[in-house]
Amino acid sequence: MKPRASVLLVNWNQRNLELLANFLSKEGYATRTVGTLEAFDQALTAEDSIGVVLVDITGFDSSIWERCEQLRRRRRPFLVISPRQSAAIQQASLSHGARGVMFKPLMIKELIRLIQGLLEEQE
Amino acid sequence: MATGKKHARMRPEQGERSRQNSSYRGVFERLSIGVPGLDEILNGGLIARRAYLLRGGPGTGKTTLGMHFLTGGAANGERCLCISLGETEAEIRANAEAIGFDLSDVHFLDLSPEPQFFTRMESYDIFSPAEVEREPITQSILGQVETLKPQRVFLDAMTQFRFLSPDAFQFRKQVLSFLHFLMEQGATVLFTSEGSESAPDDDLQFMSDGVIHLDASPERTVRVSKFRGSDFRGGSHSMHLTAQGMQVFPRLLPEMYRKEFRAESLSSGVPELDELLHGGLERGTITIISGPSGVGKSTLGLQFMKEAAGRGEHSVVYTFEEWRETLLRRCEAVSIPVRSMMERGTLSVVQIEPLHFTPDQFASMVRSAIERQKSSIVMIDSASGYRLSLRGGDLVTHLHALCKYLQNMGVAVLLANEVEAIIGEFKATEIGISYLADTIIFLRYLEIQGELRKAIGVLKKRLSDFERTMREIEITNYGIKVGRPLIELRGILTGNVEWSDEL
Repeated sequence: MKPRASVLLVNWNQRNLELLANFLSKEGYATRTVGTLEAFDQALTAEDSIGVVLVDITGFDSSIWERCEQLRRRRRPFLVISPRQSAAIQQASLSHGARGVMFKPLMIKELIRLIQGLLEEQE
Repeated sequence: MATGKKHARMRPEQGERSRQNSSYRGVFERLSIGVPGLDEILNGGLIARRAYLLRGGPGTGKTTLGMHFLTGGAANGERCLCISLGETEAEIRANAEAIGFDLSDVHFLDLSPEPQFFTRMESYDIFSPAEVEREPITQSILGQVETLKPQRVFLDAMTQFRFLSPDAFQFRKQVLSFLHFLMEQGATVLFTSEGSESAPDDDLQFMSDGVIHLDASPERTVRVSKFRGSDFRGGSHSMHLTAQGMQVFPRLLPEMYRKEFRAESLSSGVPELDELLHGGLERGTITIISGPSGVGKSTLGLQFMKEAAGRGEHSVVYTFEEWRETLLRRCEAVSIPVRSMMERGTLSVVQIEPLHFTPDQFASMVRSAIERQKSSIVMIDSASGYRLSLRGGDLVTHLHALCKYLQNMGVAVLLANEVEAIIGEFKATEIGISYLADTIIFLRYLEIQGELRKAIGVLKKRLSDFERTMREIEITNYGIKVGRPLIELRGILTGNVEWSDEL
């Protein structure tokens, strides 16, 4: 059986990363976490088994959108996580290739459904 | 479910504490909450394996009552668990030990935030607390409860769970489910809430089997508003938080007490006074002794007590105004041997410090003394002192309840009542308590031919006829002397005494 693709978690807040990783691993997903843009860059070049990327834009500057463009170019499906309901963020996220935008706080069940859907598309 | 207030009315014999109707006791197992006065309000205690809400603002005594609940159970060998979501175990133990609670046999589940939460910047925003915190807390509680199988659980505070629920519906469902789980495990649950106008806890009140309210303003009180399956004593009751914990003084309900007694007259030991009263004062009656300051009201009351002491009966005086020592000296000076009466155990003189007691607390003290010492005469000296010395409002109602209780217990109640006017227009009382009295004795100053003298008369006596004329009364070194009827004088009640022309 083909191993399940991993989920790359991009988040500036370490506690958020821990929580996301814990919840997703409980659901059987392999995860990789990055907390800086540099680490994000390394993950983009080094990791081939990434199936889905969750990008929490909180705490990053506008250069986060360049990384989103790279994800689009590499055909890596990704979801943007926004700190608040914002039409501007939603528009920017979609225009940089995000498959969807989620607003905090996230509902775990909803997040799992979205990840599952994106991974199934990959398969 | 056994309900119905009619079951609560009891007539306990020989002054025993009112006991709960057997129909209640037979149906449900009761647990002491750990505070005797509150058990009395709860008609014998909490019904076991149910959940009770304890609500009140900060500093009202919720945790203290919780400690009573837990240590009371632990003392009976029950397994007790304290679940804390606010204070740490160490804080609770230290505070409890400072007021003498022994928590060594009480188990703790400390779910309060650890200091690392702050220092490690463990804040998060990716999920709601409901998503993140509920699961580990639930698992901790489940694990502890299933392992320990506690018989008593104190949870402080349930309102913390509100922050772990995404909406009101989920909160209600989770709390109900949680309480059912605890009760299925055999626990009786007492949980606190910090309800306020800005954060109402009506939902918790609906969900619980009983609601106990603690209040700290204007006086500390405890009130029960709901108790499924049981009657309870309504209204607010005085509560004290002391160095020994919580004390509750249930509001006196006179109709709950009854003692069989012989309806006989108690002689004063002064034949002329007994003639005036057609025999004396009856047991189980309330007598107001009314008169101006210094006229001899207390002395008259103590005269009845002196005679009762001769029969071996006990009496008690509660003095609100006069210093105890002054009263004793004064009585000794008029041949009432109060000190030897006290030594023989036939008299107690209790001085009440101003603003020290609430009416409920005073009533509780009187009740305890009466039931312990089987007193036959009680004097409250005076009614106005009672009003001025006790804290709180509605004092006439409390005094009424206390007198009716004493009456039901077969005690002859003497209520000294001071009237302002030395002479002049007659008033039986000035604080509207004459309706209480079975008997009203009044004492008056008279000016006769330039000399200040005193007269005594009876204005009302429900249980027998009485002499309609007044008599002169003198308080001398040899005791109380009552003279012949003053039939030759008129205008005594107005103070303008004249010799009658008809003689």
